[in-house]
Amino acid sequence: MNLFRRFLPFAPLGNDEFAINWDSAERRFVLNLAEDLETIDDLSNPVLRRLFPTAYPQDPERDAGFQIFARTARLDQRSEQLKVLRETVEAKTMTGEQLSAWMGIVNDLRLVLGTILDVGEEDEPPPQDDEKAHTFDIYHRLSWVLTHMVDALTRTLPESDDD
Amino acid sequence: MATPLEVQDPDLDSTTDEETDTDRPWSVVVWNDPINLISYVSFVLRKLFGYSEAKADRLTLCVHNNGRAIVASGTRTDAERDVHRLQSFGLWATMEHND
Repeated sequence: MNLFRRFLPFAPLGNDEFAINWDSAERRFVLNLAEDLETIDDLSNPVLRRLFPTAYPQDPERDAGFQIFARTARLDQRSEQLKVLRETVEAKTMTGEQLSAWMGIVNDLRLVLGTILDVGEEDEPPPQDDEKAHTFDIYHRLSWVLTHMVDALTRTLPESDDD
Repeated sequence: MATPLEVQDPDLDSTTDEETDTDRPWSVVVWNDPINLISYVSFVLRKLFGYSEAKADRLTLCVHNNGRAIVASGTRTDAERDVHRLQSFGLWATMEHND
């Protein structure tokens, strides 16, 4: 393993194992944030709307059926992910599946925070309001974590030549 | 002179005819959003569909530059399954008829 990899927060070791150099206090922070998200059960909340987009934009009736199934499945999925997070908050290594659970939660948190902040495509200056500035910092920190997770997991994807 | 009978046009948009509905292919569309990372979208397409890095990157850039891209197509059941899987990764995915 090259020297650079030792400084990466997530490094593939082979055999579906990843070295985790991501600070566990920060992991605990992410876990707490995700548990807070769990407490929002009002699914008509516009922020949660981003997590449950329309599947059939031209057919509201069909979409209603799809939403019922999708929301239940998503809530089950999140329960499973949180279970993995609790088990690996101090772990020095993780499997791809465990790292994917963290990635799923981090991405969901980014979607929620990004929607609250109403982020656009371009880099914007931080908000003036203190509370929003704090949320903005968390959002950007999660972006950094996610970038590294995706990088590590991408390296272990099998090659495909469908071109 | 007798007036011709009025003939109602068939409702071509109706999706109640299951036979016709399942024959028409459905497209799975991923829409651009300002939050999801390009590297993440590309990863999800590779992970879910087994696409090569080149193909996944091409589709992701299409989403980013054109606002949307068709990433898969198939029967209604296939498309619903794909939309659900994409949405469970946080992508903004919908389905529509191919024609």
